[in-house]
Amino acid sequence: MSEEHADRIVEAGLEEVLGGHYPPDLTSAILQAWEARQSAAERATRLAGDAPSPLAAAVLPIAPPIHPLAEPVPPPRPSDEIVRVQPARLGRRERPGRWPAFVVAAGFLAVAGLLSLYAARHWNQPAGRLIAQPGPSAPVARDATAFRPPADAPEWPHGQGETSPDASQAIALAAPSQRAAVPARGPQSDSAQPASPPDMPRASPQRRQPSADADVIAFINDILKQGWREHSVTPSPAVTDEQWCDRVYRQLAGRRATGDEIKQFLRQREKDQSHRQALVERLLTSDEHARHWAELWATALVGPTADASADDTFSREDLVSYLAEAVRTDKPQEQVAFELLSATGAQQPGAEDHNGAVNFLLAGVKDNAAAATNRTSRVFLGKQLVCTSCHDHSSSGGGQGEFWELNAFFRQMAVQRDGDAQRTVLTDRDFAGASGAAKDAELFYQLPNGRLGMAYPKFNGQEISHSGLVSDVHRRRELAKLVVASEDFRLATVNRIWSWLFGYGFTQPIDDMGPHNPPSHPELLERLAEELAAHDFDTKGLVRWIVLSEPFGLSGKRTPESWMDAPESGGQPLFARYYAKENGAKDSGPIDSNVVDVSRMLVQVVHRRPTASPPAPGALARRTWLRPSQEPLEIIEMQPDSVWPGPAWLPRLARSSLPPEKKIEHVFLSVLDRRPTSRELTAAKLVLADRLGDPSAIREIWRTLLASQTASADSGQR
Amino acid sequence: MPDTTGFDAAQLIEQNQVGVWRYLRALGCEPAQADDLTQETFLAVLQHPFRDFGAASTAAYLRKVAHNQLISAQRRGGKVKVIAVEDIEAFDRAWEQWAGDDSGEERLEALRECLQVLTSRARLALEMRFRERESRASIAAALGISEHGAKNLMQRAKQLLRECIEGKLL
Repeated sequence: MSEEHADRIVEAGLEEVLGGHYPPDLTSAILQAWEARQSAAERATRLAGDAPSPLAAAVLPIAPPIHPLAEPVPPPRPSDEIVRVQPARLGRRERPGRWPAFVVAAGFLAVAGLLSLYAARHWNQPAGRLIAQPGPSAPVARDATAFRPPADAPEWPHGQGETSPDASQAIALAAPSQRAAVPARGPQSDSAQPASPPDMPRASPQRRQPSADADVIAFINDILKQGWREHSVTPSPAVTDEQWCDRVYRQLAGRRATGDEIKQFLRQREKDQSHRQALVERLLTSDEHARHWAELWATALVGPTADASADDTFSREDLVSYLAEAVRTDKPQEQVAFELLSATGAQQPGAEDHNGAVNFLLAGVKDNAAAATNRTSRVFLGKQLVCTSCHDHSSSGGGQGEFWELNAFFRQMAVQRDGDAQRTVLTDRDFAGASGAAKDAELFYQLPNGRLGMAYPKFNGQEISHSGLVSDVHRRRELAKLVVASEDFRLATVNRIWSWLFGYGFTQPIDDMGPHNPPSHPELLERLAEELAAHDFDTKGLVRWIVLSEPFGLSGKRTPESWMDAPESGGQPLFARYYAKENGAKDSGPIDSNVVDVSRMLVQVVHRRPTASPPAPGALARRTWLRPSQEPLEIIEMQPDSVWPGPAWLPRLARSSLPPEKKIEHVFLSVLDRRPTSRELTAAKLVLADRLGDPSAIREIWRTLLASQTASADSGQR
Repeated sequence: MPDTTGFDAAQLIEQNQVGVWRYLRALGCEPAQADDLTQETFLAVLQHPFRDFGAASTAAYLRKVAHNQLISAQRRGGKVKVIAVEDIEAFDRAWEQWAGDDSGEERLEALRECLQVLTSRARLALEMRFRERESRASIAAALGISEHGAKNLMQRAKQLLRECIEGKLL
C-alpha cells in the first residue's frame, strides 16, 4: 500500500470519525429514483411503439441529484414592483446576496414561483417561503374572528368600546359594559373585572357556556379516574387535611403553612365542611398569592432571575410588579397576554408613561426580537419555534417560515433610550421592510440551502396587511389579538398552570405542544381550555378547579399499585399520585447561568465516563425513590438511553456535517432558549472532544442541559 | 417496485452503499457529491441485468462504476475541482485492504481507539484539521509551530494511526 493512498484513506476515516461525516442511508432515495426512471422508460417505449429495451432508460435524463447544485437564488418578488435593495438595512441573518442576478432572473423566477404556488396549493402545503408572495394589491386573507378596528380607532386604553364592522364574524369588544354581559360564571367567580383594552378580542362566539365550578371539578375527577381504570392503576391514598393545607399554601402562597394556620384550618373544618374551599378562596385573594404567581409567570416569560443577555433596559422586578398587580386585580389572562404583547411605554417606574408590561418584550428585543418571538410562541402558544429559526422542524412539523412570519409582527418594535434621563421607552416605528417599500414590508431569512425565504406577518395561516406603516397596521396589536383568540393560547395556559400545580403538565415539556407530542388527557385539556375561555380567562378559577379536585389531594408516595404512573421515566402522567415537589412547581423557562452553572455540569460529563451497561431498572427506581433530592443531572444520567432518548432530531444533528459550535448552539437554543456563553461552549466542546466524535456526545450535552433546566426551575422556586 | 433484473435491488443497495460512499470519499469527494455519485452508481448498475458473483466481486464492480461516475461528473462539471488518483488500481488494492468485508467498519472502530494513543498535541492538530476544518496555518499558530512542523506532526500522527490500526487487527 503506497503512503499516499494509505494517507488518503486514513484521512477519509478521520473525516468520518472526527468530522462527523457519516455515510447516509440512500436506499429509499435510490429506489425511488430508479422506479421513476423505469416508469419514464416504459412510457417512452410505449410512445415510440417499440418493444421494451433495457437501453431505453439510458437516454433519459439522469435522476435528480440528492443535493441540488443550484446556486442560491433570492426569492421572487411581485412582478409589478421594482425592488429597491438597501443592504445596509438588513441584519446578518436576512442579508440577501446576488441581487444583480436576482433582478435579471426575477421574471423567470416569477413563473417558477407561480408554478410553486400552484404545487403548494395542489398538495395542500402552506405557500410562501420560496414562492412568490401576493403583491400589495392582492387580496389578503384576514382573521375571521379578530376584531378589526376602524382606521380612526383611538389607541387603547383611552378609546371607547367599538363594534366590529362585521358583527357576525368579529369578536365583540371588551368595554366594561359588555363584560357585564358575559354569562354568569361559577358560584365563586363573581369578582369585578378591570376594563380591557377596547380592541382586544373578547367573547368569541365559539366559547361554550360556563359550567359551575362543581361540574368542572367533577369532570377532572371522572376523566382521571377513567384513566386509572384503563391502566389498572390504584391511586395513592389521599393526604390528611393538615398535609393538604400545607400543600395548598406552598402552591398558592409560595411558602409552608405555619402551625397556627394549620390549626385554624382544622378548627374551620369542625365548623364548616367547605373549609378547603374557604382556604383556597382566602389564599387566592392574598398578596402572597399575587406575588408568588407573578414570580412563576415572570420565570416563564423571561427566566428565573435577571436575563444575562439583556442590558439594564429590562427590569424583571418591574415585570413582577406588573404581573402581581394583574393577579391581584383578577385581570383576565387574555388581557395580560394582550398587554404584554402590545405594550408601549417607559420602563422606568415613576415615569409618566411607565408601563411595567414593556419589560417582557424589552428582555427579548435584541437580534431582531428573536428571543421575544420564541418566548411568545413558547409561553402563549405552547410551541417551540426556536429550532425553526434556522430550519424546518421535521418532528414538530414547524416550518422555518413559521418562525419568521411570527417574528415579522415584532419588526415595528423599537427601543428609544435617553441616556441623560436614564429613560428607556418601548415604542413602535414604521418598518420599511428589507427592500424599503413600507407598504409591502417584508423580511428575508436564510434557508438551510443558502437561498432566501421571505416572510410577512402571518399567524396560524392568517395574514394581516403587509404594510409596515404603524398608521396602517399596528403589527404587535394585531398579533396580540390573534394570539389571545387562538385555541393554542387557551391550551397552553391550561397546560402550564396544571403543570405548576401538579408538577407535570399534559405534555412534557409543557411548551412543546402539537401533533408530534399529544397530551396525556386530551379531553380534559380541551374541556379546561374551553371552560377557561368561557369563564373569561379567569386563571384563579382554573386554579380553584385543580386544587379542589381529588387528584390534587393524593399522596405523592408511589405504591406498588401505581408503579405504571411514572412520568419521570418518560411515560405519560396518569396523575394517580402527586408529582410536584413540595417546594414548588416545575417550569421550563429559560435558565440563568447565575442559578445553575451549566458549564460546570458539562465538565462533570467529561469526568463521568459512560458505564459499560446501564443500571438495572430496579436499581434505578430504588435510587430515584430513596434520594428524591438528588441532583437532577445525576438522576438523568442514571437513566438508560431508552428512557431519555431525546428528540428525534438529535441523532440527525449529531451526524450532520455542521461544525461542532453550531451543533452545540442548536442544542442550547432548543433546551435553554439561548446561545451558549463562551465558557459553556468551551465546556461543551470538551465533551465532544472527550467522546472522539461519538454521536452520543450530543445527546449527553442535551441531557445535561435538560438537567440544568430542571435544577434551575427548582432553585427558582426556593 | 420494478424488478426487471431479477435480483433484490434494495438488498444490493443496503449491503453496498456504505462501501461505495466511503470509497468515493476516499477518492476525495465531498459528502454531498459522494451522496449524488453513490445514487448514480446504483442507478447505472440497476439499468442492466445483474449477476451476483459474490460480495467481493460485487463490491469491486460497484467501485469501478463509481469511479467512472466520478470521472464523468468531473468532465461534465468542466471547472469543477478535478480529483485525480494516480494508479487507480493500486488505490483500489489499498482500499480493499482497508475496507475488508465490512466496508471499513472494523478499521474505523480501531481508528477511534487509536486516536487515544496519540499525544494531546497530535490529537489536537488532527481535530483542528478534520473536525474544525482549520487551515494548516491556523493549526500551526494554535500549536506555536511552523506550518512545516504542523504538516510533519499530522503526517507522523497518521502514520502512527495506521500502525496502531494494523496492530489492533492482527
